Amino acid sequence: MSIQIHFNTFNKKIYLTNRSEAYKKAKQKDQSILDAIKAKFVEEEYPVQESFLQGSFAVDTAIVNVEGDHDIDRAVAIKEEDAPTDPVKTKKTVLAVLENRGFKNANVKIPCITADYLSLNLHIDYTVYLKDGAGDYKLAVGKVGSSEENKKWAESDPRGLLEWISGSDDYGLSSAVKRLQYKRLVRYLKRWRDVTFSDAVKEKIFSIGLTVMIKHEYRPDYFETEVEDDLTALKKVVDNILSLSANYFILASSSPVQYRVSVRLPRSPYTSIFRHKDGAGVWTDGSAKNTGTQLRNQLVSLQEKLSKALDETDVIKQCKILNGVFGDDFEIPDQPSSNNSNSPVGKTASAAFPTAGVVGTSQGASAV
Amino acid sequence: MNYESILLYFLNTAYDIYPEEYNGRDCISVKIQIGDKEVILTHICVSEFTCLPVFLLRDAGEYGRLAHVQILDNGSLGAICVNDSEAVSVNFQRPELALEESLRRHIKLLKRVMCDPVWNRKELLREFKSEWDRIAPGTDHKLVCSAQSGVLEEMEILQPAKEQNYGIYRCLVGISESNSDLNCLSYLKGEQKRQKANGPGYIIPLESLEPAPLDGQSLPAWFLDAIGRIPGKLKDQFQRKLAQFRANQFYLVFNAPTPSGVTWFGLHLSSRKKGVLPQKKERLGLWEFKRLPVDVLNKELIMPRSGANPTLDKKKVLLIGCGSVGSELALKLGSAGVGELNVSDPDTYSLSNIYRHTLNKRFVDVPKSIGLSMMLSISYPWISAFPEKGKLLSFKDCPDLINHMDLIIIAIGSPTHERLFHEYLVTNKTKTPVINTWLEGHGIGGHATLDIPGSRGCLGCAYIENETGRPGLSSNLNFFEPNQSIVKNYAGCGETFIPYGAIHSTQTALIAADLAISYLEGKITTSQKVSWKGQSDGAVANCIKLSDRYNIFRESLVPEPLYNPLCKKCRGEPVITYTGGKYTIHVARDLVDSWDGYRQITQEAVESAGLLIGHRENDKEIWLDGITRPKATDINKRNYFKLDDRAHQEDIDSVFAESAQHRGYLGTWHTHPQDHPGPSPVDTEDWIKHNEQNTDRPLFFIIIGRKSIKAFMLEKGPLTELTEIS
Repeated sequence: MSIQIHFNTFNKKIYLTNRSEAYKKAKQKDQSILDAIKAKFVEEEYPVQESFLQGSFAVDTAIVNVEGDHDIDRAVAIKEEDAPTDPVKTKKTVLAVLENRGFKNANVKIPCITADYLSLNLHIDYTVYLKDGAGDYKLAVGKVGSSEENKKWAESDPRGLLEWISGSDDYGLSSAVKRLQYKRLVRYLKRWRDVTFSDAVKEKIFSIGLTVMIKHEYRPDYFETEVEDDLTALKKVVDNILSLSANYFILASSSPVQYRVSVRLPRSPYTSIFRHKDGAGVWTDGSAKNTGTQLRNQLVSLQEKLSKALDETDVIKQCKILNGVFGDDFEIPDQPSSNNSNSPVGKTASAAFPTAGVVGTSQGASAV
Repeated sequence: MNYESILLYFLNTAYDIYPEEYNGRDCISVKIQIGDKEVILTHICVSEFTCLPVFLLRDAGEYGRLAHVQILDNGSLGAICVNDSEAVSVNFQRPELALEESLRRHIKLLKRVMCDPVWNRKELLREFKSEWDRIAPGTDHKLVCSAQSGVLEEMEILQPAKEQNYGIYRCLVGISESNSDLNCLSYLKGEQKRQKANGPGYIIPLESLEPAPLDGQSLPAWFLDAIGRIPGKLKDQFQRKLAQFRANQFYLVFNAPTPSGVTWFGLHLSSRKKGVLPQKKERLGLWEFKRLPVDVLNKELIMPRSGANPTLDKKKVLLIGCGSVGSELALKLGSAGVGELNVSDPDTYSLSNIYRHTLNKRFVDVPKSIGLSMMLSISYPWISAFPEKGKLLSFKDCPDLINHMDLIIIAIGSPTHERLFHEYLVTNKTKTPVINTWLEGHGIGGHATLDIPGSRGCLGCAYIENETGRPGLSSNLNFFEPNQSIVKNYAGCGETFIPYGAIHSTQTALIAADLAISYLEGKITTSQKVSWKGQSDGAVANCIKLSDRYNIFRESLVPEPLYNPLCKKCRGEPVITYTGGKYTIHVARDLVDSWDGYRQITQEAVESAGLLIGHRENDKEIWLDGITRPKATDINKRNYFKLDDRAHQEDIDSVFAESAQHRGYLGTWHTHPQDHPGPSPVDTEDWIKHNEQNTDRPLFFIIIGRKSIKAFMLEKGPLTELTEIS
């Protein structure tokens, strides 16, 4: 399992939390916008009842962006009785706050409001919900110019989605270890996407799509208490995604061979994550052909490379292949490193503190 | 706090740790598997770890009642008590380790309370009192009650004293029927007037307990259940006597066994209409139930819990001298749990005492002894403190009082009076031990002696004059050379004072109190002395000369034998006396006793040897009063020995210095495996060598045979065998 230590190092390199130093300014911005939105919502008489993170920060699968961009996915919820009939009204309130605070490209989209803060490379994604008496959420759907029937409070289960992603009911024994591996695999495939596709394609391969597919296809042995190494596990997930029975890729044209990728949200509103406009200009399930085809082709190529890496016995050669897959954050060691994948912090662990940081009772008011 | 590094630290470990926003706050959460349940622990991020990082249990209400878990926010969170945080030191440089350690403790505790229901219940009962104390609402005033035992009985309830906003005066007081301890009653009632409360109090023992209710609404139901737990044999008494009484209020004090001992807690019932204690569900609604905070003044409970020794409760001490040392000493004896303290001083407390005395402005112009006994009585509920006005020597007229005491402590700082009093006690064959304590000025140090009649060592031992080896005016324990003026003159006669501060008087009081308590507890059974040694800069600045003892003294705070071999009274009669040349040589009893143990009676016993220590009474009379014993570094064979001279020399040197050069090396002793020994050629050769190195004194050589002892002498002349004359 000596390749695992290199995956651990890679994981550490790409790992991002909103506590990271690099994210500090974005976080401050996040807080200040939230405060401003709350104030504005009070003025509009639909005060914010709760706010929560969505997206990768909420499920701890965020990775360091290759270009240094930061995302904020945040939801605010208001009370059902306070909610205006027109959901877009609340979204315009958010839009006004963002525009006032120097955001560019501020835009009301069908499910959300987006904006960019250029000096911080910050991309922001706000959703507004109402929360009814039963604790269920409804999403503010619609754009500024949408017709009345396209502006609605639509059933949605954002918390349920987060819980589904973080859930481990199917993992069996030692579920924590398996969930940790799941989160690693999501990070790996997201980084693979970022280094593999062109910008135009990349932004169509939504993280949530990958996350949901991997969640479905990561199937560790229920009765095993330990997990296989990340390379083996990743290969199996890719195999499963590509397998015919999984049915993610729909043949859209046989000459040339073109696919659409199709994944549904596992929680309300259960809609398709990838969508395209049909000939009549109507949004339809399944991605654009280009997105689906490129994703499938690259997944097949990934599958081959992972297979080659698995066959390789020399760790350095394995790392070389994986470097080709994931980019330079997957480091190629100069010489074989020790087989120490159990070390909690990899090779940077300090030898000076082998013991815990807390010692027992010292002097003072004695044992009480 | 750098949570990024913490998260990175845990990233590739088996801990399922992730950052999270919970209720709009930055948190770090951990999913853990406990039994068949998955639980989430959440740490709310803080700017620094001032204690072990805290984790809260999410959805704590879903796991049933857990010990050490306090439910918050209607069950959405639980605070977990893993330890006493302040008693743990946190490595701030490695916060991730602190977090990991904390997590380990939380998981360990949760595993235990969630997977071991028996233990969980036991712990719930163990923490019954702290859970009970959290129940709201509680009454405005706490009840302090006297209860010598937990039996079913009635209490008289007194209301808080009027116009008193703090202290025990603010509390309700409960006086149980059986309490006859006057000290305790006066401690409780105090000097303030209190009115009787509008209802009775009952002490109710319960046979067993259920875990404490979580809130005030559950109190009536809990009460009904509790009444059912009154032990069978008491139920009748309860029904006949207590349950018939009609009142507007009831103050109930329960006691029940828990795994950590008997716990006491209270409940208050009030109603606008008078009635009997409700015992049926339908009557409960007429009454308002509140938690009644209770403190029980129970000697067996409070004394050990607050640091006193209950076995000292029967001890009687007379303290003469209530100055800065004496008053501090009295309080320390009181805090140790001494039951009876008679304090005596002819002086009144004045403003010139304030900075080094324990009394305060309430006692200006009050006799110190009265002030001190009042202080003792308001500090310790079970002490009997009696003021006396006499000076030390006036106690010569009170032999009954003296004989009645377990210990007398004298802290008057007057050697003349102390020694006169000592003479009086010796003459009257008084059995009561005496501690004398005094301090020297300028922070140089302080001393205490414990003279136990019948044990060797007396006050006189501390007064053998260093120069002459005879009883003198100043103590040989002192760190100042005698006959120097230490006092400062403030306003002519009668206004002189010794310069020292409260630290020095307190330190002196502490060594004396420690000696006293150790004696009263039976840990010390022989006469002892103890000193503390301070810095010399104050003395040097005032051109005060220091004694040799100051320079060699190393044993601050350590009790040592008081016996001084130069003290004729303690030394006793010699056991053997020899003559030889112009000398008369006395051998002290303890030498012969020691030698008995070394005689080579058995076949295996090896030769033992050591040096002789002694002093000169005068030109002709010599006392052998000490020996050095065989050392581990010596060589001892059946027919041969060799001393490690350096080790023995060290003993001699310290005896020499400690006795101000009065006691020194006077020869050797060793054993022979012969009944009636004689010197071998090796012996004589050795002795001659010794003699050549000590031309200023005669040397004596003693051989211990199996049946007899032979003694020899060498000075300037041939080896002379000594003649035993008695």
